[in-house]
Amino acid sequence: MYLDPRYEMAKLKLGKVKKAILVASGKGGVGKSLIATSLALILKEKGFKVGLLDLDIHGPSTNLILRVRKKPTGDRKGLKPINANGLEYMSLTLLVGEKPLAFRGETKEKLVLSIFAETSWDLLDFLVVDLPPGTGDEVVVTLRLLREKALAVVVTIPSILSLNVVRRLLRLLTDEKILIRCLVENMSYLRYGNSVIELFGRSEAYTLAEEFGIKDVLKLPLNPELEELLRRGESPLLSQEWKRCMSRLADLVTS
Amino acid sequence: MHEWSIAEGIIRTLVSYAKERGLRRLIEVEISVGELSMLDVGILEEALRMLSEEEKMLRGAKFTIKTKPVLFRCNICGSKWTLRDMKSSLEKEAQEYLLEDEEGGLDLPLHYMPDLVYAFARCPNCGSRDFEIEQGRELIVEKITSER
Repeated sequence: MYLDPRYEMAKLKLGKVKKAILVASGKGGVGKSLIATSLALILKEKGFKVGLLDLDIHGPSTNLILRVRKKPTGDRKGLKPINANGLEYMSLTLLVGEKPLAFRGETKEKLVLSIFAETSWDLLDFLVVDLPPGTGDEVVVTLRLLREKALAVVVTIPSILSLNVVRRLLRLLTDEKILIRCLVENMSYLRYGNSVIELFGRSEAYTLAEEFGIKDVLKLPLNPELEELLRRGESPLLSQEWKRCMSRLADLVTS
Repeated sequence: MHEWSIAEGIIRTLVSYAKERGLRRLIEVEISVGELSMLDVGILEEALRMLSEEEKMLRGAKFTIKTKPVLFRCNICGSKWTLRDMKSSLEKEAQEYLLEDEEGGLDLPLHYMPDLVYAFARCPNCGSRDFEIEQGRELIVEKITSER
């Protein structure tokens, strides 16, 4: 017999979470963590109670965007997420700092299960989950635990390399019956004076969305202002263009 | 102190196991706890005893908790070692990361997530982080004796 009580612990801990928004991508480096964090922040600005969970266990980066260093505290229920700019926030980086994260196979599965089993979220309208790229253990375990309350926002860039890999993720999400609410094409264009430049050539996002029956495509700009804000430790929502885009994404996921 | 949360998880697991199989009462339950989770078995036993009294099908059930020692094996040099062998180096590595509980106590992050050992430990012989946990990470219900 092999009954792992952490599944029931996770169900209990997620009991007060009304909806989970999984921000996922096929490839790394497409801006998923920035979008997940910005989405969480704008939802909070719109008056929702929001949590942000960084599940990119090999390369967490949402902490850098939020500029947080606090540690969670423990109690009889497990670990209490920290408050980060009004968000309930949890990331492995709060527990292990800059230590190397050399997790493999079974360890990854158990670790993700433990994160869900030990983190006691308060009453949340939305838990935004920043998933690692790809379709590995972290993604599969998350889908297992959150399938009844999850919708997905899938992020890609217009490069053919990203689009082909993201198709595998879209297939997985479709097979697991997760609603893909929006396909986000990040770095879709660059504004230069009065011109709009499509850096990767013609976009195929709409074709891909149609293939999987995804209702909405959101194209986001490559905006150098964002990097400046991040380097200064300021909120990405200080960029008006980015804020408008994130507001649109928030409207889509809450509609 | 999260032993209470684990006990609650175990009780819910048992209740759902019994309901799925139409069992009237669970008489004896064996639980295996890996040493790596650094749980206080006394608190876990107490929590199980108290919480099980609230569930009719578990009232009076006997809980046996078996603690499994940890054994690590290095994938590079083949060395094997125990938690005791590296406890002081582990505590040193993790001292900046201790987590405070509601009573002011401090716990290693491993207390909550045993697999985080990979962030803090290295092979005591060759220093590699590429090692296996051969045993001692589990937290499972291993055996249930029931009555229909």
